[in-house]
Amino acid sequence: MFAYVLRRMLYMPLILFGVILLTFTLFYMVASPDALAKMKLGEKATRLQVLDWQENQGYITWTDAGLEKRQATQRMSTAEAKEVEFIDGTDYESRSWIGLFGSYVGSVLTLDFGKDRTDKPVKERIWEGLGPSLSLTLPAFLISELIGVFFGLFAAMYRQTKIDHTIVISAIVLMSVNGIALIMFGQKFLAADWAYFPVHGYESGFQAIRFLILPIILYLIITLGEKVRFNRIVMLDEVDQDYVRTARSKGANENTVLFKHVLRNSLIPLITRWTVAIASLYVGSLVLESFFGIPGLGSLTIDAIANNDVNVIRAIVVLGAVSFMIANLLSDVLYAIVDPRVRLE
Amino acid sequence: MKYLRSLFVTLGLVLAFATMTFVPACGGSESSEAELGDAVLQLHETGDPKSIDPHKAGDVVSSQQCGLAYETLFQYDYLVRPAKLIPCLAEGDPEYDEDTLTYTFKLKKNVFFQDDRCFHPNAQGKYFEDESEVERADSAAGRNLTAHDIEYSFKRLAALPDSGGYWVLEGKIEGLDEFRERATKLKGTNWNEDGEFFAYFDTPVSGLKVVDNYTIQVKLREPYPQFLYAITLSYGAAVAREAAEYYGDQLTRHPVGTGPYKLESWWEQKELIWVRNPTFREEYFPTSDDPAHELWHPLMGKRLPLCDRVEFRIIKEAQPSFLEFRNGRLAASGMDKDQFTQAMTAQSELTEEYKSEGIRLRSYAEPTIHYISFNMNDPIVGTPAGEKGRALRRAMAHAFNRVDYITRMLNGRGAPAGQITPPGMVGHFEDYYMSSQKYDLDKARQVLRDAGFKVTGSGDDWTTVDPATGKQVTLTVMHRSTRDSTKDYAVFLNNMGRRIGLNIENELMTFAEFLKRQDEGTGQAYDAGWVMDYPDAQNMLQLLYGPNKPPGINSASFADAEYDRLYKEMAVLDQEVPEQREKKLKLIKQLNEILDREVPWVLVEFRKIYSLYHHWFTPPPWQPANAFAYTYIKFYYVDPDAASQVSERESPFWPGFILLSLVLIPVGLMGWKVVYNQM
Repeated sequence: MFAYVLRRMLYMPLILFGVILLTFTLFYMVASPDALAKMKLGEKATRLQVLDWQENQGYITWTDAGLEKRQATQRMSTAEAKEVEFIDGTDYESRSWIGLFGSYVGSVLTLDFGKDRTDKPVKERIWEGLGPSLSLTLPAFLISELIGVFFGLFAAMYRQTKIDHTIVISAIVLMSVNGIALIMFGQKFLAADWAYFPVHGYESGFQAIRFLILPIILYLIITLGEKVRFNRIVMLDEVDQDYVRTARSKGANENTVLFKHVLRNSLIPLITRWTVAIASLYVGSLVLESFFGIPGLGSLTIDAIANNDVNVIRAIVVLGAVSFMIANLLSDVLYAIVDPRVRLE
Repeated sequence: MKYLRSLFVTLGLVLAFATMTFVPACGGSESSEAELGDAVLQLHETGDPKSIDPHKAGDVVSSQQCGLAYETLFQYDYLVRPAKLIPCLAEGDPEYDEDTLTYTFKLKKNVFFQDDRCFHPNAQGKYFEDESEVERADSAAGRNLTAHDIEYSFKRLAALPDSGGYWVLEGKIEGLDEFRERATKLKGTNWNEDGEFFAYFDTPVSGLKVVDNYTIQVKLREPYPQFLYAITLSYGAAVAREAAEYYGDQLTRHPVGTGPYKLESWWEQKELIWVRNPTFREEYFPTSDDPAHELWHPLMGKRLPLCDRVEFRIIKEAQPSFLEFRNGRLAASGMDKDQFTQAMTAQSELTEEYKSEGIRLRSYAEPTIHYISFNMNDPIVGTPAGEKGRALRRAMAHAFNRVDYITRMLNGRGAPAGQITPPGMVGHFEDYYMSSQKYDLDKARQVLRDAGFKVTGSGDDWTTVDPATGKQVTLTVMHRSTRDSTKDYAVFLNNMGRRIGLNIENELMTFAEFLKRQDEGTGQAYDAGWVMDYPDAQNMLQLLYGPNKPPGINSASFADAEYDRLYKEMAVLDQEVPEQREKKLKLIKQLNEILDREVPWVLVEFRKIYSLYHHWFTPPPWQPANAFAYTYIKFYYVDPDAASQVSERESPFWPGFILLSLVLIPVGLMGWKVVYNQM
């Protein structure tokens, strides 16, 4: 297994390089250095402002001819100076894509993702957002998985009975209701009108709990239906297996059969789902964070997309890629642990 | 029972672990609570400010935050309309020598920067991040503002490569462009690389002369009648050199100004909290006998700022901000389309339900314009297409039903735009409406026929064919967002096109891509808007000035020699000088007429803002002038007693009981079943 893990770890830098290359290229195509300058300086920025910013950020270098031309504009009236055009290749040299990519890779390797639109290092923003995000998603995820497994087992245990039908119908109803509608309903009635919870906000430390209860409840409601359905199907696949019949014929009671035999043998598909979900926990729940004002990474991501904060988006994508690689590796290892038939070679 | 017990033990452990995960939430900064009786103003923003460094703040949110901490030489009068500048840091009006193009500003002597660590002798030459928490907490008294600070601030605006505001001074002050050329090269990417950059500020600039500690002269390179307006934007704010050097690039998060408030904390995506600056100079609420100002009479003569604490909550979604407003946790709120329908009657008045809650309504026109800008270099719709291109542009302008658009898409929150200058501004003519922008579908089709297009159809379904190609004419409009409201607007344009036979396609894209395409001039038409920076029509008319072509702000690439000549003449006329004002108005009219003839834009609407506020909040006299003033929060007043009476709501018992029962009863039954099964 050690050799397998080592080999997988050696692949990681290659995959990461691919992700960085892809995201850098995509963003380079969509947000040119000119567009980036204007997003930073505002649409009112003049051509010289744009070029000065690009030079400062390493996108261009002035040529001697360009500098001379620039100095000449300083003796002109504003109107005349505006007529002067600065031409790429003659007045300044744009840095090549490969050069810019090289610098970016260098920065990422030192965990320097640049600064966000408020001039704060992206690394700090991510670190600060991680706590609030996990404080929402981790408890919500754990509770919902536990309840999901419990209901899944219960439905499997009483398959084709009224209990099973009730659970399945409830799960379908929960899956059918739009998540945003549930959030808006919960916020309006449970928080604003009936005042059981705060409408919006967040505090640090244990005070965060009162702001997190409603989002967690809503997370459970939104995700539970799908989890129960999935778990029920996984468990049902197992309950008709020979080993279950054997256990029953040996006199084991139903709870023992379910929790000892069925649950353990259902873990492979569950682990697959958990590891994928765990890898995305860091971004919190995008919509919930945004609606309830939880200053986590989900909210940061939405904010970055809305404001074209390229450095933040790129960092989140890279972070996502790393998380998924680790989660995938973890899931492979866990397969081998829970199922002796799986061999990692 | 063993496995059942294990399950419950696991559940307990998970819950305990889940609770522990709340601990990592100890991020951000702790903020002190308001004291009882404090006047606390709670407002909201939809996102964090980009910067609280006045020389980098270009957007409205950032400028407003800067206005709490920083001040400029002048400010807009709070009560007088139309917008009028009055001294702020300046002592009286400036002297202006027309021959030498020199302004002389005298400064107030009793102005101090807020207390801060940067003024401590031990902090000199140090970077704040290199100091310990204990050292940083060792603050020092802010020093007196002098003319050197104004000189330094103008230089800093020029020197920062990431200053969005240099466009207000570029080419205007003698020697400043030369200073910038060298300074931007010296600027490093972190504080340790900035030694030479900081020292370079000792280099004199010929157009900035400190006469004495409280007098500064600014020599312009050419007449610039908008100069005082320009330096009243946050870009003209006074920044202390000690602060800029101690905080470096992070001054953006550590404002140190002379303004009425001090930043207590900024937790990104959550809130910004400002507290009264105890060393703020004596300034009082203006007085007025005008009956129109009755609402503000109780405040007149009171010392500013009126509130002890200002809290800006970051609320991105429309629903929570409106719910918080209804619950009295925000003093004022705007309304989105749905909330507008909920709060307003068909006559655009507040509903009785809202009135009974003590909520009040204010509406005002914003000095903004929304338009569709054609790419005048486009072979189909632009100048190269000659009369045919002009006919297409004109047909689009005639086909745009502005009233319908404002009613259906904006809930009536706007006025049709028939000229380039918004209402309330000098250069807006009440009796003028461009003939090309009048809604008339028959005329639109006729214009197309006259240009040689073949227009056939009936009702709402027409086809316009270009005989040269034998195909239906297709135009593409580019949009800078992919939001639902933009999609609705795209459908509106699509339907509009069908009524005159044009196939209008819409490209929805991110802002970055939009900017790229616009700068490259690869679009046919762009959905666009402009918020005026100062109350001078020149700020609007520059959008079509030839030399401002892309990548400048003239996204239409409109180039008309006559327009450019008249614009240059108009731009240097001062609307405050009566004899120049008349000539300026005449030129603005002529410029509008050129645009009426060439139709580089489809003018859409001037936006109207409807805002709600609670009875315990005394709002500003909302008028267009407010759009330019970012220092107004010191005039805002919240009655602490009335605000505190917004009682905490009592939670009703039954809804909670029913909801809990819905969850607990089935879970209980299942639990019982498991236990029963085990037995």
